Amino acid sequence: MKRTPLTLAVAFVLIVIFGMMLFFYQVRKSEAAIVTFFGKVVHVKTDPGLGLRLPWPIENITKLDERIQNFDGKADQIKLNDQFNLLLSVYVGYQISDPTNFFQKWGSGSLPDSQAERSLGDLVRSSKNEVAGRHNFSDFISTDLQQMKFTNIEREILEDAQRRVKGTNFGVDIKFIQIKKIALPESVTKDVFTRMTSERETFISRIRSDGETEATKIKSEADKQASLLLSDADAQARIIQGEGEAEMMKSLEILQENPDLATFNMQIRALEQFLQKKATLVLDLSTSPLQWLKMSEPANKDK
Amino acid sequence: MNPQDPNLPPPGGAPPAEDAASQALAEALRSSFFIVKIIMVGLVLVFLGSGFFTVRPQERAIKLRLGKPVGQGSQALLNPGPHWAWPAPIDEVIKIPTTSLTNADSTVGWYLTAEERAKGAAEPPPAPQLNPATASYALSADTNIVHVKATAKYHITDPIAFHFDFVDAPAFITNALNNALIVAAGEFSVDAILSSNRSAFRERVQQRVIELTDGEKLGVSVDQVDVDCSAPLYLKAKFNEVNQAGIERDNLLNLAQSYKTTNVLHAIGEATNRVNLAESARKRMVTMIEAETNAFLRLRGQYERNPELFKRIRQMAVLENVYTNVEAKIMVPPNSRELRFQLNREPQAPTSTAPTQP
Repeated sequence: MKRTPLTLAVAFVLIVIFGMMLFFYQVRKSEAAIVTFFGKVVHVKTDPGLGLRLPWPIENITKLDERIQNFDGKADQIKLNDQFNLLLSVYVGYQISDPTNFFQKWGSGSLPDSQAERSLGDLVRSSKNEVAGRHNFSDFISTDLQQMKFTNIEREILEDAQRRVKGTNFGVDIKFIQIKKIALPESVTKDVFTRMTSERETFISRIRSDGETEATKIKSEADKQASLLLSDADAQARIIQGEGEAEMMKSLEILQENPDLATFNMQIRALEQFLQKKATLVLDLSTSPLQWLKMSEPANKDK
Repeated sequence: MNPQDPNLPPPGGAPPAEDAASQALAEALRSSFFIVKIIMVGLVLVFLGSGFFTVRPQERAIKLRLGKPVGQGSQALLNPGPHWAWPAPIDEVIKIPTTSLTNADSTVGWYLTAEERAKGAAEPPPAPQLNPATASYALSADTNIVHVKATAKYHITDPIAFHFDFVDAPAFITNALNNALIVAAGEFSVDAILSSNRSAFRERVQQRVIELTDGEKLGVSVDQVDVDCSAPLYLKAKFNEVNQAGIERDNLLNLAQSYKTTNVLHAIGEATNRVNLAESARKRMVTMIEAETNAFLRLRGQYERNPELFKRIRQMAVLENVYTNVEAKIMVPPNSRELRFQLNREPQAPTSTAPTQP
């Protein structure tokens, strides 16, 4: 068979690919590669890119995920400093900080429910139980925000767990611990429900009586306000009346110059007003000027 | 005969047949190699063509070349549009949704698990006590039990951090929601959570979630947190009674306010009326006395000249006016000994003058 350039090129490419598979390995970003020489760690590559290796089985490559991993801790009943029982569970985030140590301790296992996570979980539980046991119930929940130390407790658990992890050869660093569940023992929830029921009944009667009291208050306030308004109006009316009388007094000074005429004028005008409408007059012929109707009698005789 | 002549048959007869077979085999091999070449060229083209990919508008992509991101920081992000990468294992393309909102649901605090909620499961029967292993709830600041759940809507702002710093970033957000619900519930009373300060509770949950995601540099922006709260199922009826009492109280107060408004407005009207009446009485009185004074001044001269005559003339003028305008006039005949009137209690229909009986 003739060796054409294309055949040679294909063969070259195949040889290159095969050679690369044998002598190179690839590390992705956020990965660490452990290179072992007949089981002994000889190199750790943490920066992404290509690395040189001897072919398997001389050198073996194990890749570890260096990203932050997380798991849910188990809930534990903890006796607090004030003898109150509380169930607490946490959520843990950790990261492989020392790939060599991690590999030597746990192999390649950083998967959920691995031995690594179980051991880390036990360690975090110890920290959680110890730290929480130093605190009172009111440090977890309280109407007084100054008294509440929830985030401090989380930080204390984290610091304690980090200190414990440093003392081991786990090869990990705990990045965060968050409390994800707080609960009461089952028997206590029954008491809480009893208390809540009693509180609700108190609230109901208080709401009703408060409503009635408030409504009565509003109504009496309204009555008071109305009464004040009317009495103010009456006072103002009396002032106006007084002002009118004062103005009238000025005119009276003029009328006093001839009281007889003034009285006559007022009487005659009052009579005129009084008899202006809807009046029935009963008159006899002696009434002036009707006496002039009596022709038989002398004209100068009144009545 | 030339033994080298290729046109001559080989001695013995067999060689010419072998030659033909070799030629046919060579021909067949040539054809096969040609097909193989075509296939190889085709495979190379497919290999190179498989590197084309598209980034959609709601996502970004990161290209890893031999495991290393191509570009630094935000320059490593590929924008929407067509792109090309070397096929695996040289390049690896990671696509990450960015602008579209993603939901994360809390997994603690509610009487149904997230899976049961997703399936639309019915409420569990009310229980007089809660087993912490199976029941989930939060504790309020006044040590009461309350059910809470939350849903966060977020979008990825830093795809590199979101993808390369966390194995399971969505799980982190879910647990941040769980933690935020527990923390916020521990700061509010049960009544504040369920009714009076619900919006502040929701804001506190959202604030805590943002604190946690920003604190761990998760590379997301939490846009909205919706919170739902419920009284314990066992006490729901009691809580409803409280709400009902509150509604009744509000009705009572509304009625009282209505009474107040009506009464005060009526009093304001009445007060204005009284003042106006006084004002008009004052004006009437002053006007009347002024008119009286004017008449007095005008007539005084005439009166003082002959008071008796003046009075008689004024009297006659008034009588004329009165006699003219009165509604009825009854003349008593001369020498009448008695005069009888029939007076009705009820006013009579307006007809004519009252009948008289001499």
